[in-house]
Amino acid sequence: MSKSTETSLAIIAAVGSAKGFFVEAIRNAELNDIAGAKKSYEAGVDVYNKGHKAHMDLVTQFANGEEIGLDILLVHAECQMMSAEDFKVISSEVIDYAESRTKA
Amino acid sequence: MMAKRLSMSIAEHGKEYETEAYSYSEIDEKGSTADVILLGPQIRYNLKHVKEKFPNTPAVVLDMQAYAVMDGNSILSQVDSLLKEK
Repeated sequence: MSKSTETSLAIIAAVGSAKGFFVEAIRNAELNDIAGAKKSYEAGVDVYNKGHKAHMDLVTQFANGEEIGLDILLVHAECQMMSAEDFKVISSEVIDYAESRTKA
Repeated sequence: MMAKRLSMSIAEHGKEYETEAYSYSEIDEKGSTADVILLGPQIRYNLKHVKEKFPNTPAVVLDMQAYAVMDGNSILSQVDSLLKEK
């Protein structure tokens, strides 16, 4: 496997997992399981950060003038990361809302 | 890609499993044809739903690390242990 493919797969697996955890967090919040929701959210943030680091390494390489092989897998990886990032924000908001609702 | 890697590992180990990769939206149609259901880590939140829908079919979320490096052998041993439990 080429280095570029390895990096793309590392991003895809990490941010894909993260998105899975963020949606799981929303489902837990829906069921008023705030502690479970926060746990899923934290697990999501943890893996998301791993994917984001791999992405930032690529951006840094590019900034240093190194050649980044752009292929469909890297496009997919970046696309998945954007989606995971959106779900991170949404799940955090949903948890806050669910928490305020249980306190009300 | 994962399905391809897995089928390569299956061939290496001389097993006779077949692997197919589908979109989650096809689960209603394809789920009943499977002996084991493997979910990508990005749809882990569907695991409960899958287990409810196909109570007699072992289902699991693919290990993220194995998925990241497309480690077919590791996924194959995950499948083997699921089939053993069945």
